[in-house]
Amino acid sequence: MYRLSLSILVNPAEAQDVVQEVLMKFWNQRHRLQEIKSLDAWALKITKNHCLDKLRSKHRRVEDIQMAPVKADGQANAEQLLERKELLEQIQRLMQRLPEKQRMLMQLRDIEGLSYEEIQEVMDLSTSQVKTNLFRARKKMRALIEKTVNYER
Amino acid sequence: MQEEQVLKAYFQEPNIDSEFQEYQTLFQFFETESRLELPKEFEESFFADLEQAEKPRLFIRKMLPWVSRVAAALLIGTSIFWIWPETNSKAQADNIDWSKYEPDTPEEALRIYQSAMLKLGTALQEGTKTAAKTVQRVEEVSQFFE
Repeated sequence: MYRLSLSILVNPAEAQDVVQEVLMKFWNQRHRLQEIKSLDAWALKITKNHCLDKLRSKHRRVEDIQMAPVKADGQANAEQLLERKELLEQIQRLMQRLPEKQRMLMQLRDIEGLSYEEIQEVMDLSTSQVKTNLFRARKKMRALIEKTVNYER
Repeated sequence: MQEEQVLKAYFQEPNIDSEFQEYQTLFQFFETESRLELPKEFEESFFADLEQAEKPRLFIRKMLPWVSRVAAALLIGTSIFWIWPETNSKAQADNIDWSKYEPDTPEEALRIYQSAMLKLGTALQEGTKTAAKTVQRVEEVSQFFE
């Protein structure tokens, strides 16, 4: 839930607020949770809707956005770690350039590893729409990476 | 999908073809992002907020039996307040010997009747003129019968 809200809202504080709101909602509806078929998909769907509401609220301003810090882990020296951190942050920035729907699809499939059925449920899309949009997102991401690499060269 | 798994596994290898190196960061980004978790302080703050939100509810739940008892007592009290005077006045009225208030002579009956009509006229706010006319008319009628 946190990762999905972070991918939509970008701001860690806002993403945490959404998670808190959704968890509160769960707590208040705890007696009805057994009726839900796929709790994971339902939780992600509620999170997504909350995030989109927040994103579209009039109070949100572009300058409020604060990128989440990317942690580069693994065994490497300081210089390599810094370089990797920069690369990861660059990817994060490129991801933000994707349309909202495509970004969410990449988050759900490539990061969260959700099945196509689960993504369908979360996003309210058909299988073909999920596949098409995911294909477009990956293609666009590939083009953005190539463009960035060529520019740096 | 199998293709996705193959790609994921390939880009996790340390030595990949230089041609595809530029895409490795993307898969590393996916891997890093999939391990991203909420900060440790979140849990603490969430449970504190939850406890705070639940406090009034717990209080209401605790007080509910007492509130019901007070409400029931109030209802009974109000019902008694409304029903009792009516029953009481009815009982009082039943005990009155109305025969002693009966007029003994036609004159007395006329006087009582006139008085009642005057009161009625005043009550209906028809004015003294209307009341007097009524009395006059009653007098005429009574004279006719005499």
